[in-house]
Amino acid sequence: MATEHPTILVIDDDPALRKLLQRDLEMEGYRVMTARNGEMGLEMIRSLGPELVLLDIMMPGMDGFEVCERARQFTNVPIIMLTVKGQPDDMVRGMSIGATEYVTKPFHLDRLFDRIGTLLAQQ
Amino acid sequence: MARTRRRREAAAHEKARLKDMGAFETELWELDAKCTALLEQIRDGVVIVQDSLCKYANAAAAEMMGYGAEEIIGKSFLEFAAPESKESILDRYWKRMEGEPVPTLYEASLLRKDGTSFVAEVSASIVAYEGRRADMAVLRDITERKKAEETLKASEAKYRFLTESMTGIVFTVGLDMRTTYVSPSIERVLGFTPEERLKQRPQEQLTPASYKSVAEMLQRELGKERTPGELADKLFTLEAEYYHKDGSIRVMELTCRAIYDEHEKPTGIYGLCHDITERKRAEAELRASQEYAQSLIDSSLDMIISVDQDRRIVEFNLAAEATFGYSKAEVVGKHVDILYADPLEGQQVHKAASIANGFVGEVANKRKNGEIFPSLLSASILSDSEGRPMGVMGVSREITEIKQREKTINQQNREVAALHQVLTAMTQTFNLQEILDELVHEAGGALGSSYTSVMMVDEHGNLSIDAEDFQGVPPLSVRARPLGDTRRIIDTGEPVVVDNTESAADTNPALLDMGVKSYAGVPIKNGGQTVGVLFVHSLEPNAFDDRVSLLSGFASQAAIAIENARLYEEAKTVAVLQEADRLKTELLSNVSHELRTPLASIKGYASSLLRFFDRYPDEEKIDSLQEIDQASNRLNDLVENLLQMSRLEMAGLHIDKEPVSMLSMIDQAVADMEHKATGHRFVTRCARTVPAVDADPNRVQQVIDNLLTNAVKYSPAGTEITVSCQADEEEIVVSVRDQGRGIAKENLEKVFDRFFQERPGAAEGGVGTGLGLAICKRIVEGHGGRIWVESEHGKGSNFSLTLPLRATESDGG
Repeated sequence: MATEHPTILVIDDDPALRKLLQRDLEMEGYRVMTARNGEMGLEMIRSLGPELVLLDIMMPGMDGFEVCERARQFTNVPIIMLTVKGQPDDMVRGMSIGATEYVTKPFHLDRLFDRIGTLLAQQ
Repeated sequence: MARTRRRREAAAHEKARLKDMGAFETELWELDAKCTALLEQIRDGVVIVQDSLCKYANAAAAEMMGYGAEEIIGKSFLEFAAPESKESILDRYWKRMEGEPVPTLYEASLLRKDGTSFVAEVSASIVAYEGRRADMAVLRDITERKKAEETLKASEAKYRFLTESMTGIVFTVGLDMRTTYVSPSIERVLGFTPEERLKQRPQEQLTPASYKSVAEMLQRELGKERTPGELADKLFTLEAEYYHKDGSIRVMELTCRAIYDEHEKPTGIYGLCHDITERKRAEAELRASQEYAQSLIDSSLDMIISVDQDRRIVEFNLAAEATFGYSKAEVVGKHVDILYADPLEGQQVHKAASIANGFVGEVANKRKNGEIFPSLLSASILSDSEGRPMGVMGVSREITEIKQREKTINQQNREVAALHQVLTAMTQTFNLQEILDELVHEAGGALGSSYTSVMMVDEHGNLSIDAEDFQGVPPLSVRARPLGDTRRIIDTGEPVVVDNTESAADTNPALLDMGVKSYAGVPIKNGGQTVGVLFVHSLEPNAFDDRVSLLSGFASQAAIAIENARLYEEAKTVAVLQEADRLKTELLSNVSHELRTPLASIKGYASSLLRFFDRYPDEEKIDSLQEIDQASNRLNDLVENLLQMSRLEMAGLHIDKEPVSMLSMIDQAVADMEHKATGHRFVTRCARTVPAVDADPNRVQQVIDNLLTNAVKYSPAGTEITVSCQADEEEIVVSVRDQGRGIAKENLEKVFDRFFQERPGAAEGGVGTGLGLAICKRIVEGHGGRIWVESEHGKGSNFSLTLPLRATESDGG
């Protein structure tokens, strides 16, 4: 159920990255919302119903794993986990709790946008 | 009448008798008052009887009879006679009346008033009383005398009885040895009556051997004529065996005397014989028991020695000969002191044995060859049959072997105890040095070693003395032990024992100086490999020749403990390494995260520029470039931090000290932080002036910055961060207080540990390497100061540091 301007929620505690993703995703034509920690992000997933979530793992307070696990209790929204955690077991964990994609930082912006486009097209 | 005639005759006789008797009754004499008074004084009783009635009794008579004198008077004399005497008294009276002679002195039993009787000797005489003839009786109480006479008679009867019933047989025999007389007692002794005896031939009476010896004796004793003047009473005795009528044999002792006729020719013998069978048997038994005792003494394995009252040796049995080395002949009669190591002890033993319950105890004896040996002696007094002390008898046994065994057992017990002790002590610690110290102490003690040492082989094969114990020698380490013995033990794995250093070629001179005469070394083996050597040394030769197994026991116990200690150290090292490895992994993980965060920005903005270069206006492009620039700076800081920590770890802190004004440094740091616009309120509460500290300004700046950064990082925007600075005479104290969530109590110490992060990645854009406070701690302590934190979870943290002051200088705020 792709719309003309799908809404993407960015959850990341790094303001520089948040700003970058918001600006560039909007430039690509998406509607972008940001959350700077897990608690806020989970609440926005529940209340705003974004078409896709970009979720950082390493955050103070509720981390990305927990946000993902909890979100899966009420939504099947695609969740792309963004993290510097490159270890295989982290990736396995992320998948096992319902993450849709797993992208490690630093990422190449073109490839991230490709993944976002593909996932939204599948919706 | 016959009666009249008899009386007349009696009177005639009486006259004639009275004439003969003279003294008392020559004439009648009148008792006058004077006489009566006299009679009252005498102690014999006097009673005058006239016409059968008592006319007078004196006081003694009255007392004797138990009456008052007046009670007697007027009574018939017969009333006072005891029944058994009445007849004789009457008879005498009548006889005298008839004129028949009667004895003037007689005895009669008289009755007392109380009914008891007494025997009186009565002396009767005729007197004139009141002008008429009267009888006067003088009485004397002879009861006691009679009693004594009776007793004597009774004993005579007894004597007669004894004579008749005695075991002795009186006999006479003729020259033909036939019995010519034998007393009746033969029947009791030999069963034959005298009549039977007289009919027997001597061969029937005696056993053949006794017949022969008796015959020979008679021949010898009777064969010779007695020469005049020779003593007639020559007694001879012999023993002979007679047949009892029942067939048994009785041994008789004969005491005989020859019978001679008027021509001094022997006609036979008479004699007395006694049955001595029982005595002989007792004698035989006694002899047998004496022989038995002697054989016991001789064959006893224990030494039996007796001495007389002068302590001269009487008995000295075979065991004593064997033990002491003296022959019995050599010592009998000698003083017992020669058998004692210390004669005084011999005297004490004798004294103790002579009194009370005797002596039992250990004594030191001396052999003929002078050797001293211990023995266990039981000595007690020796008495003759009368109970008189004759000396002392001792039974003793050499206990050298027992003592030796006892000593060995005691030693073994001590050794086992020491081994147990060393094992216990050594297994209580994993500290190698403590184990080795315990080893030399216990092993040295158990083996009586003067100098005990342990040499250990290190991983490079080098030897070192790791523990030493000195007992009774100056504690001078024998560092220069030649490697010969130790190397030999290590190479062969076999113990080395040197019994005498004087005959050993290559003894360490230091040991010789110490006075070491013998020593032993055993390997401490671990899994077949010798890891060390345990040495014991003694100032006596041959001290360890039979102690190597014990020494090896200590060594093997030590090996176990040493191996345990090694394993423990290894395990500890492994644990430390594992922890370090874990921390490094964690660091790498943290570092990788922290490095990649700014890198993500750099790469993100760079790729954004590339993707949207034509679509973004210039200001967006500049913003991207600025982001890249800032992220690059963060990355640089991070790398710098890591490098610094790494340098601190590797080479220690390099401090360039100069006077530093803390107040201006704090002002600058707070101003810089405010400039970053974190949203916190900064408050400085400093003393107006504080002295300058001697410090490295760059390092101190780094610490202050770090504390401020942390305060910002871990407390929400809008809260207050207070920096304070005070000084006393010794040090300056700087504190940074925030109003953040604080630190859990259990983490207060850990926050200064390297790589520790209470909440990894806690702050937005924070450094978060876990290195900041660790670096701070090293810097502060490098300046001789302290750093600590006070915090309550949820109520903020207060980090404080001190720096020691330069004494004199101060600077104005």
